[in-house]
Amino acid sequence: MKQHVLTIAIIILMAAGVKAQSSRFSIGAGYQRTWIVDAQASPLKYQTSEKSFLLRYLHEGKKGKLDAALTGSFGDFFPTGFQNRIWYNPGYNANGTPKKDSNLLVGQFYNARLNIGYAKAVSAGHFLSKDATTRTYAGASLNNQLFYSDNIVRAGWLNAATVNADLSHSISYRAKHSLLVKLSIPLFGVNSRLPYHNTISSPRPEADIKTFFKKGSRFASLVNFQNLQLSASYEYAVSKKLALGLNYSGQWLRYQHEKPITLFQNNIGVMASFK
Amino acid sequence: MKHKYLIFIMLIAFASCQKTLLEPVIENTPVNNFEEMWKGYNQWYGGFEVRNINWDSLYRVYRSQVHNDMSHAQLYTVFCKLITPLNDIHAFLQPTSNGLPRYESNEFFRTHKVQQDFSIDVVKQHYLPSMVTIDANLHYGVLNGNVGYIHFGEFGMPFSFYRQKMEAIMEELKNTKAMIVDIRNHAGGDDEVSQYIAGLFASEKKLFMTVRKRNGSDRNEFTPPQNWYVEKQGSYQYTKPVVLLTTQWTASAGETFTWAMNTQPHVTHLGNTTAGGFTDVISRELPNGWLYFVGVGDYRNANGQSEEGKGVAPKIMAVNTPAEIAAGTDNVLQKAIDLVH
Repeated sequence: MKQHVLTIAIIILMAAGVKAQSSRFSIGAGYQRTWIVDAQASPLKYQTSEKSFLLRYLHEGKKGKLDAALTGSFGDFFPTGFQNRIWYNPGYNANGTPKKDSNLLVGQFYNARLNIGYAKAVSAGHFLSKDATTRTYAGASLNNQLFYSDNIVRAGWLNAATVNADLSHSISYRAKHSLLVKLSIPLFGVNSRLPYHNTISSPRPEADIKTFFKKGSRFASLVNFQNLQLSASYEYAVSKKLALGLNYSGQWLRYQHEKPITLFQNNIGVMASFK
Repeated sequence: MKHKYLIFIMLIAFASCQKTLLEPVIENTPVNNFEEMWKGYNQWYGGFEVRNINWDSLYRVYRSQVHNDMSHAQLYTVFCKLITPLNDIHAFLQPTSNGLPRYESNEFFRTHKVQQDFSIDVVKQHYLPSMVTIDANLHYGVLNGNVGYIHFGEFGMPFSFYRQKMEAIMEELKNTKAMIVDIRNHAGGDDEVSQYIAGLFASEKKLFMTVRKRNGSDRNEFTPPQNWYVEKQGSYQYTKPVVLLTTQWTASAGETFTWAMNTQPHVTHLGNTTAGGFTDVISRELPNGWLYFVGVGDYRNANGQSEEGKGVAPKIMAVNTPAEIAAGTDNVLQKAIDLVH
């Protein structure tokens, strides 16, 4: 059912962009840091050091724009102040003496986000000067964001499938420089977390991921899920076909269930756009 | 140009306010560590009622022994005393600094340390030289007299691993006249695997356990009970005589497997009583980075009875002594072989 809704939404969004005049494809890479306090898993604050990538398709017209982006990241995941924790082998040798070997207690964090949205131009182009114009867009997007860790306490597990309200503002200067700032806020959706007991098991033969979504999903709205997603990008047109740029994205979220999780994330990267 | 500066300032402000926007974390002090550990068990442990634990009383006894100028080792000692009454294979403390060892609240595991009543090497060397080793925890073969033998040391691999391997193993052992399923050093794993493998031996669908797990901060707050059934799995089911071997080291998912196997009329349970710890377990952390482990469930057998802390008693009691194993003799296995002949 979810897939049908998504397909229909994409068709509507693409139809809205038929009158578009230009489109471009961007790729990017960057560095990301995420901080998480997940009371369901741990009293400790966790942090990451992640590599990230970005794939983006942008279709712009006179009246609006279609924007689809896939971002992903992965990297080390550890409690702040405890990066070098040691896991001592709890076993014993055959003669009853404790084993002496140990290794570092490490984890990995994975984050993926898919966003597809359409925004309508609400200001038709305003001249700041004879060389610079601005434009403001308002729209909506379908957003799915997955946070997953393989660390020992399962901190930070969350999937948020939401409908977002988007507001963006662009400034272009002499057709060479462009700056885009975007704010996105989820209005409602379905959030999935581990159940209160933080384990997955099911008496029916099914994949753990299916059990996770079946047992841990609930309706989310601004009342119990607050999420602010902010991004900014600057691009310099090297030629008519190619632009190079820098981008920043950050987000803060807070979700109440089962125990509160708060997350803050900063990402900075470079990108290349092809027209 | 004012636009640009304003946007730039907003971005810098947003990007640098991580500490302000996250929940405050608990300061790492001995008192806070104690409070956090007590609270962690209080909010997630599923065994207070069935193990008859007065957790409030333990707080009163040990909280007064904790103060903020005590050493790591002193705090460790108090923690060990706090969880000792749980006597639970799923309740243990794992420090991650200062070289302090894991502390098992379970008396049997803590005092015995190393299993001496079973050795897979003895089985291989003296009873089944043609034993096939899939990995360290999965072996099989055919004993003298055309008796099949499968050994499981855990159910910790992905479900697909067992589905793939067991189909082939069961096909190979299909024409044996009886089977010995050996879980005498089974350390646990996933209950879904217990259910699946028991299904390979199922002649009929049977309820084998009900599971409730903690579902809130109140100690009596659990999920509704979920019924777990064993039913036919695989391309065929082995319904000839089966002997299931257990010891006091057979734990967790090894015990839910024992429950599931014991529902089938052609299975005879032989060996020693199991460890008595059935539930799923989670790890939690303290402000000092140490880990502690908490069993979150209330698991009941098909009759609705909890065997936490008691274990599953076999139909026929048989135990190897350490001296017998050291001498290369496995009398329990021999008894199982005699039973099916």
